[in-house]
Amino acid sequence: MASLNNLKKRIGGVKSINQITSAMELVAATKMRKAQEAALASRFYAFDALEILGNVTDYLVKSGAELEKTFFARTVEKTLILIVTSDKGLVGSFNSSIIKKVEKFLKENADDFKAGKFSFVTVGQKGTDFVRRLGITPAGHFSNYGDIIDVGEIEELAGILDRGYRKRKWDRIVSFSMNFTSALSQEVVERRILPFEAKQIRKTVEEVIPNTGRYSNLKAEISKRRATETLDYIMEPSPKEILDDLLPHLLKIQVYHLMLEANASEHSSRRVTMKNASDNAHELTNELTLAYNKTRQEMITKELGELTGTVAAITNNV
Amino acid sequence: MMHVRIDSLRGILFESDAESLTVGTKSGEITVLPNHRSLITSLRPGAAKVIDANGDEKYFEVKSGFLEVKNIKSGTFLTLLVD
Repeated sequence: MASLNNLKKRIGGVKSINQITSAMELVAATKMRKAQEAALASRFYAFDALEILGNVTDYLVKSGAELEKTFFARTVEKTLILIVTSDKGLVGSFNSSIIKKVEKFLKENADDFKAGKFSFVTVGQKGTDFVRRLGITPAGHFSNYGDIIDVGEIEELAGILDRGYRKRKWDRIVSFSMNFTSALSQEVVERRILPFEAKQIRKTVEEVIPNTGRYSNLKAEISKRRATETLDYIMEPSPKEILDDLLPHLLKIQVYHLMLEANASEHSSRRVTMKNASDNAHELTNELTLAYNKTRQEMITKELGELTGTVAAITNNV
Repeated sequence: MMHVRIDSLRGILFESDAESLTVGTKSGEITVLPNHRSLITSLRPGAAKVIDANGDEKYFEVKSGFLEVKNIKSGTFLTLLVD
C-alpha cells in the first residue's frame, strides 16, 4: 500500500505537469492559427508562382532554349538534401517521421550515399543533430526562425541552395518536410526542388491545395485555367533577363512556402501532442486521487477498528 | 473580357474579370487588353491600374514582381505576383 504522503506528492506532480502541458497546448494552438493563416494566405501566390514556373519550364524545354539550362534538366551527380524539422522537441512524431523518411531515402540510395554524393542543408536543430549523428557536417544549417517566417528570412537559405547549384556543388535538390493538410493531419513529403521540371512542379501545386475544405474547389478552377498546350511566350525585356529574375525568385518562393507549411504543421503537431499529454495527466490525476481516497478510507476504517477494539477491551476488563 | 488575379504573399489583392491592365515593366509601361499574346515580364516599382468589368479604375502598389499573360482557349488569364 502506497503511503498517503507519497500519493499526495505524485498527485501534486501530475497536476503541475498538467498545468504546463495545458499552457503549451494553448500557446501552440494560437501559433498554429497564425501559422495556418500565413500558410493559407500565401498559398495562392505560391500556387500561381509555381504554375508560372511550370509553364515557363515547359516552354523552355520544348523550345530547346540554351538559356539558364542549368536550372532545368541536368545529369545528376551530386544531390543536396534539405531537411526541414523543428528546433524544439515535444512535438510528437513530427521530427521522427521526417527523419525516418530521410533514412529510408538514404538506405535506398546507399551506394550514392557511401560515395559521398549527398550534401545536407538543415532547418531546425533536430535535423542538424540527425545529420551530425551521421558523421556529416551540413553544408548549411539554420535554426531559430520565428514562429511565422518572413520571406526576407529565407533569403540566406535560398541563396545557399541557388549558389551551390550554380557552382555545381550539387545537381539536384530534394527536400523532406511536413506538408500541412489540416490541423489533424500532416504528412511528410519528398519534393524535388531543383532542377525544375514541369511535371514535378504541377504535382507540388496539387499538393498545395487540400482535397477537402474551403479551398478544394480550386482544383476544378485550375484545370480550367491551366494551359494544356505549351504557351508561346514573349519574354520581356529578354528571356535571359526574365529568367535571371524569375528563377531565383521562384526558388525562394518554393522554399518559403515549404517553410510555412512546415511551420503550421509543427504547431499543429505540438498542439495535438500537448493535448494528449494533458488528457493523460488528467486521467492519471483521477486515478491517483481515487487511490489516495481509498487508502485514506482504509486507514480510517483501520483506526476505527482499533479504537472500538480497545474500547471493548477496556469495558470488558472493568 | 479577361481574368485578372493579383497575388501577394499576404493574400489575393484582386481577382475579377477586367477590361484592361496597365503596369510598369522593366521594358516600359504596357497595357494588356483581352486576347493579348502570352507574355512574361518583370515589373518595375509603381502602380498597377486595372479597369474592371464595370469600367471602374483600381490601383495597386507594386514594389517588384512579375506579370504572366496566358492566352489559352478558355480565355485570357493575367497573373500578377507582387511584393
